Amino acid sequence: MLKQYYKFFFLLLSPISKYKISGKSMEPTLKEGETVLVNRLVYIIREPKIKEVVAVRDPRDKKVLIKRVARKENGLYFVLGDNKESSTDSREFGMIKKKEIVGKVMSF
Amino acid sequence: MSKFLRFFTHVLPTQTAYAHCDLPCGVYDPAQARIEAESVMKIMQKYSELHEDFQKMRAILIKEQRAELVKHHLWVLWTDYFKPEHLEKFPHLHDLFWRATKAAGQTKKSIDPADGQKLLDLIAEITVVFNKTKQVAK
Repeated sequence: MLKQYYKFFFLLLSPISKYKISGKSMEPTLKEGETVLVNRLVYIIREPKIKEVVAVRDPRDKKVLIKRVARKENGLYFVLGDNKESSTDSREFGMIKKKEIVGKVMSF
Repeated sequence: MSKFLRFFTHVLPTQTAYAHCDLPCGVYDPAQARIEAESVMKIMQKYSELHEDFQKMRAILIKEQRAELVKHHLWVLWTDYFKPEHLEKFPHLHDLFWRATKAAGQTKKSIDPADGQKLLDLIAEITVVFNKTKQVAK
């Protein structure tokens, strides 16, 4: 029970989230199984920049994805995987809104 | 890594972030739906020329399968290829796919070539929109 509260507290309130990568679309930058920390506050203060690696919510099913910002247009973001041959990204689900960006990947 | 970050890596629960690829090919073309719809149309046109029961049964069976394939190919385009920005530019897209998949369903029940032609016309409309989105992408 205590463990559940602890998990709930961190998932909801922590300014930093920890994610384990599943998949190969960010290779060679991030490999499958690697752990990254995501800063959830930075984009409250400023806009995501081109080339930054970000955690985003897939607009189709709301799963968290790790992608890189490729371009910005009219407040929308086009995100791509580094491994473009094998990545489901904005080429598939379209441009995403800022509110769908969870945060900036800060360590890998 | 700073002590501060190291602290977080130890205490934070691990969630999963996906860096995945759910469709490696990215190849879409309404031609797939059109070719199946042309088969449906041909069967409708030839049905009246068939005399043996087994030939008629086979024709109906194949027509049913092809019409189902039309629906499948249209749904793949609708749900996987077309994106929200396409819908902004072509607001009738949902209605167009709705009518096209309904028309594909109608070709299962019917042997009237007019129903087959209606389906082909709707797929042609979808092809026009598809080609426009490809031109924009280039």
